[in-house]
Amino acid sequence: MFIVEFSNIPFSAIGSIKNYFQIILYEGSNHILVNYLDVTSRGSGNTTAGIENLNGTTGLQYSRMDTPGRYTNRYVRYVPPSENGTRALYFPHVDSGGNTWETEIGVINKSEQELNGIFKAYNDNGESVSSNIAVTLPPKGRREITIGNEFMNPGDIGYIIFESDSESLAGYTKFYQEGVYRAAIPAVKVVNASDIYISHIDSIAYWWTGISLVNTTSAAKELTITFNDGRSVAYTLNANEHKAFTIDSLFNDQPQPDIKSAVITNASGIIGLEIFGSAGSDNQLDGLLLTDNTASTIYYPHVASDALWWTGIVAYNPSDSACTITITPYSAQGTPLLVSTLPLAGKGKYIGLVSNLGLPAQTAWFKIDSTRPLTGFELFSTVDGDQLAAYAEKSGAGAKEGVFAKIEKSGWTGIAFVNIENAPADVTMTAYNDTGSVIATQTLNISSYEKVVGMAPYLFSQDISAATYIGYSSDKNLVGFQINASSDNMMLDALPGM
Amino acid sequence: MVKKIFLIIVGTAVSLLLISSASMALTGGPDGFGYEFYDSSEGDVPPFSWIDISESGSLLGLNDDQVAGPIPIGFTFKFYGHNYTQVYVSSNGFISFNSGSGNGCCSGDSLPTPGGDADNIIAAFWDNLDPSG
Repeated sequence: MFIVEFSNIPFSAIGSIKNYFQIILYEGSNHILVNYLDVTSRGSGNTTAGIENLNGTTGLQYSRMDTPGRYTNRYVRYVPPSENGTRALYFPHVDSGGNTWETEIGVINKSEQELNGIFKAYNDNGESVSSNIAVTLPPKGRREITIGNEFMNPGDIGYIIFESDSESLAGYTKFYQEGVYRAAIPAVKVVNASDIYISHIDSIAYWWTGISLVNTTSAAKELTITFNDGRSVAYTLNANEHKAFTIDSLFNDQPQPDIKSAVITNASGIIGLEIFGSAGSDNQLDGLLLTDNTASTIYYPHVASDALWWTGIVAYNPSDSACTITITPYSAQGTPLLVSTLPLAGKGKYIGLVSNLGLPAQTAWFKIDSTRPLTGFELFSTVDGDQLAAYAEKSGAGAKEGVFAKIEKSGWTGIAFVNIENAPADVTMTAYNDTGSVIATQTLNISSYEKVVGMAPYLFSQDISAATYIGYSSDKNLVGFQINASSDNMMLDALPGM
Repeated sequence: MVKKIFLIIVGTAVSLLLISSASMALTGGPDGFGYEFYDSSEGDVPPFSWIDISESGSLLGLNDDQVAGPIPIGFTFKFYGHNYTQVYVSSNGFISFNSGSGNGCCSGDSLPTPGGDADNIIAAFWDNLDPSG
């Protein structure tokens, strides 16, 4: 990336007001990010923000700055069209066509307009393989594809891109071994533009960690994977290449118990995911997207610690500098419980089973605020070692709308979400089928910081057995996720509200 | 390869005259080329993150109504379909890819404006700024 920073800059005639902002250009994606740490706009006719082409014949004006006022801690991102004017949704890992693994992908049209798109499959070298699948989705429509059933030469496919005429969509990838385990990953709408954080790595006798990366750019990328113990590995991804590897494969196939986290640098244009799996006779597996996102607040919207389930959590400080974290637990009804404050070293992690963290007994969910940006996630597992689900919230700020992308048909779907604001939320949940038809709606009034949790059918007063996914909208920001399980209680996965 | 540029002006404490405006989601575009924008007040986006380059950046030392450049980007950046490897930085809060770009004194143009004070620009905060003030 390339950064131009304006720091402590006054107006020519008003020297007492200082402005702090920066322009960031991203390699590969060609995105433009403008950070406003603290600026005071004089408004339309004086202050202008935006972009303009070579001759000034087209451009965009960021109209927020047209209104006089002080603006702090915000950004605007300018996004160019893709080369052919379409929007790309990435499914960064596909495993299909063999005797063991299969992959399912899904796309949901979140808008009220028809969506047209094409699924394009690529091999590990970034070469087009198989035939394209064209899709037209009606408003609120959904399409689910099992790769081995609908693509030619599924064994050659390394990743898939869905190119469409809409920005208002969401998707997911699930790869699985039937009757053994399953991982679910959100599809990627925003390509990473800076360093990627691998919040957690377990490379020991019991656990393995796998990494899958795709170079979305048309130039080779020389990555450096720097681990928490100071070791680093140079890793090359050619243009549009996909590679998957385990951590121990970087070290002569030897487990690396000292490695607990990593940062991938020079990662602009790279997308990917990590997978946690157990070895031996247990069947735990799930994964997380690898992103450049950090947040000053990490939400853990559900805790399950009982005779059947354990919950593990990670909060990772990717900075070299120490920070202070504040852990605020809440009861299911939204009552704040005893707050605790802890130091967290640079590159350090707050990690453990929730049952061992000393949280109050009534804790139904909690959040961690930090003086430096963090990454983090939750793991849910059955104590019998057969099922594992991983969940990470993507924005650090929640959202007022989204979808829970799949209702399990031969198993169960559980949903948990919390109102993260200090005011009641009016929430409307809508169950849709794949054609976008409304099967049922349900309104909920959720108190501040209250948690809603339950099996999907029981969150509605009407029958939703004909529905395939659930949309939600709210007047307050929500954080939540879904867990899907197969009927044999072997395949489990989690996806955030998207 | 990463190139970072840093402008820093030492000044006195700030007395702010205006108060915050409302925070609502804002998106815009596409323009005639296809660019769109969204800002951080939209819920489903990554949070704001300031990148600290106070130790790694290089000071440009611009004075009032000056343009610095060409400054190498360190990679090829595509902007409105054209490839660029260097930029010009105006003290008035924008960068341009045009050699010989004007400094944009003394207020921001509406965007787009053909043949305006400066074209081919990314205007972060185009106003009558004075780094030497």
